[in-house]
Amino acid sequence: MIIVDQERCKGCSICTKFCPKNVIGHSGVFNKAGYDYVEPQNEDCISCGICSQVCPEGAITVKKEDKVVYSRPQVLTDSAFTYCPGCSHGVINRIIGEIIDEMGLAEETIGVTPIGCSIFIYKNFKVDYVEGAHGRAPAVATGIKRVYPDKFVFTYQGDGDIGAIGLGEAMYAAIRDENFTIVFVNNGNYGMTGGQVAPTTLLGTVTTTTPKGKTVHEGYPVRICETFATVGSDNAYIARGAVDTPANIRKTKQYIKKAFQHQLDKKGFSMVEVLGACPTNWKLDPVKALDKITDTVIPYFPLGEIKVGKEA
Amino acid sequence: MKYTKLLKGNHALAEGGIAAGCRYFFGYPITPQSEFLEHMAEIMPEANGEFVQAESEVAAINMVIGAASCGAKVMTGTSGPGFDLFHEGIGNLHAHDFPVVIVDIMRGGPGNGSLHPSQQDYDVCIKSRGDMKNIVLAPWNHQDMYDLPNLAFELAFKYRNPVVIMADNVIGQSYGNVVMDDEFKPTEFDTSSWAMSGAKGRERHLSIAHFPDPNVANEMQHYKQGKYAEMAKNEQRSESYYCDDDPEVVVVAYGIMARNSYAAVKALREQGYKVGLFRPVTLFPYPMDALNEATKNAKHVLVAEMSAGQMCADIKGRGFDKDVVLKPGFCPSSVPGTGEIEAWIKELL
Ligand SMILES: Cc1ncc(C[n+]2csc(CCOP(=O)(O)OP(=O)(O)O)c2C)c(N)n1
Repeated sequence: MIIVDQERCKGCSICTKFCPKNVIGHSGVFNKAGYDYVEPQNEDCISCGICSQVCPEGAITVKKEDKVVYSRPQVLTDSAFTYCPGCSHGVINRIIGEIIDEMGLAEETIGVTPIGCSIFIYKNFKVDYVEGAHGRAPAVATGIKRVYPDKFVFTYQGDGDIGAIGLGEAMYAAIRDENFTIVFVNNGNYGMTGGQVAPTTLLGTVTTTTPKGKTVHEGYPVRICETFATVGSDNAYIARGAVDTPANIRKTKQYIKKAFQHQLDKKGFSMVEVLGACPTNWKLDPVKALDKITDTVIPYFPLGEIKVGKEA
Repeated sequence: MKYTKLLKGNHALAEGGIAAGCRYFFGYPITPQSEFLEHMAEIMPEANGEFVQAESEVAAINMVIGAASCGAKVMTGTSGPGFDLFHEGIGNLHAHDFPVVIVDIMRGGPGNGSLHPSQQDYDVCIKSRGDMKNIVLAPWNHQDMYDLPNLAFELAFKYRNPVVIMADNVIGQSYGNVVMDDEFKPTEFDTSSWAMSGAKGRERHLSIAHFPDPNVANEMQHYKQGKYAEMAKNEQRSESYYCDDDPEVVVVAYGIMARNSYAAVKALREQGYKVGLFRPVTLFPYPMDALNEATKNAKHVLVAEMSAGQMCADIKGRGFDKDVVLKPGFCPSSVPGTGEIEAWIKELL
């Protein structure tokens, strides 16, 4: 059985795409924020939890008999996410929240924000949070970790933040084998500033600053994980996941959990890239945006563990 | 126990920082401050602290932000070109109200500049974008280089504000005697209401550096200006020499220019001239009360600074209403000597 938080739902339809039993559909009713929220349409729910796992808003609770199978992580604040409908930041925030709950890290965590849409993570987590300047979060995290080597420290960044303006700070964190974790979201553009070309934008892509499509003169798309894997410690942990399908979301969660454990075990640098969608700037509906990840993004940015420490 | 040691100014800064309880240092090499960084690298491990040579000044100042966010006593240092790169981070320090101590051993000129002595960073050390102000301390000898880090931390934590120790390379790179006290106990500050440490048994601490809510933005601006007014009320520091008998000429100078001016004033006093010296220790907040007092019956006020008049314009802007003569009027590539300063004063007598 599923319970939809009608006010949180942004009507992105992603759950309707993945529900194996076609249980969920739009209600045709608009919530206070103006979204046509979803609701169960029949009694066929098998409590598989997929809708909850793919929901970018953490708006779906799944119950089996009276037991809650999937719900919003405890570490998340009550406020609704402020991302656009279907934005992958929501799913990624939620899985990080689940991991923090599962590993019991809420009271040990100090998070550092970047600048970009990804900054809004600070609103969503009940953990200590410091805002960094655009691209500088890994340097700020370095300072924190030097003071508190035993606390759990992570940055959550965008691809522009880590791959352009903050490439130096992030790469030097890897070079120094800093014992904190970077999670960054590759959504192929500068989301917050309106969809300009990013280091990760695929060639040919039309963005607001590549109106005729990105060419090599704007730069070849950067495979950040592979690049970082060439520096630093052989024992670093570097992986790339995606949130285009329930299976990939689960894999991504495993990668992030492994990265967090890597840090807790004091094994040094860990980083997980997550391929996500920016439906607004991609000018695609949320479901088609996920298809684009599957069809065109993943072939260029292969998923998997890119560097696994010898001792990992 | 107190003892005297012959130290390079930049080393005295590092020793003074450690004595003041600084246990975190993040920096990047640049002449003429490198000996500060190098000495920190040497002595920080002995103090069980952390030293990181960062990949750039941009990274260094952001590491400083990280350590400061945890309420730690943290220092960094640089010279002109690096100070340019610090500005983004200093702005963020203001946005967060984090206490840190930053050292600038000045270079002259724009761009990569010169390695000549200079006092041309006055404005950039005081001001930060968005009407923000750094507290600025100006050492004039090696003892100051050792003592001022502790004062800097006291002020930084009291006001949760960046403090800049702004010195020149003559003091930074020359040797001088420093009295040290190995029993000195620096103040520990209570940062538990705001510092990051993990939200165990308390509400989470959140420090953001942007102000989207118009009411919050207004409150912040008022809070900042109120804080600067408090500093101006409580923290003006200066020294006046030979100013008690209404000297005809009062020289206003800081740093190395105060040192040479002191020698000039002393020599002229010995020749029977009624001249005095006013030396600001805090450049922000500027010691206007003491300046007005020291110069109240002076016929002439001579501002001797190695810039085209940054301090001069500052005191004018703060309402100093006496006529001021500015010397030498630009930043020469070597420090004006005692004889030259004596000649400037004599022109006015
Ligand atoms: C120093 C600086 N330069 C530019 C900006 C403007 N800016 C804000 S967010 C952003 C891009 C962020 O893009 P990305 O890192 O890809 O994150 P996303 O918004 O896609 O999550 C830019 C350029 C800024 N805030 N600071």
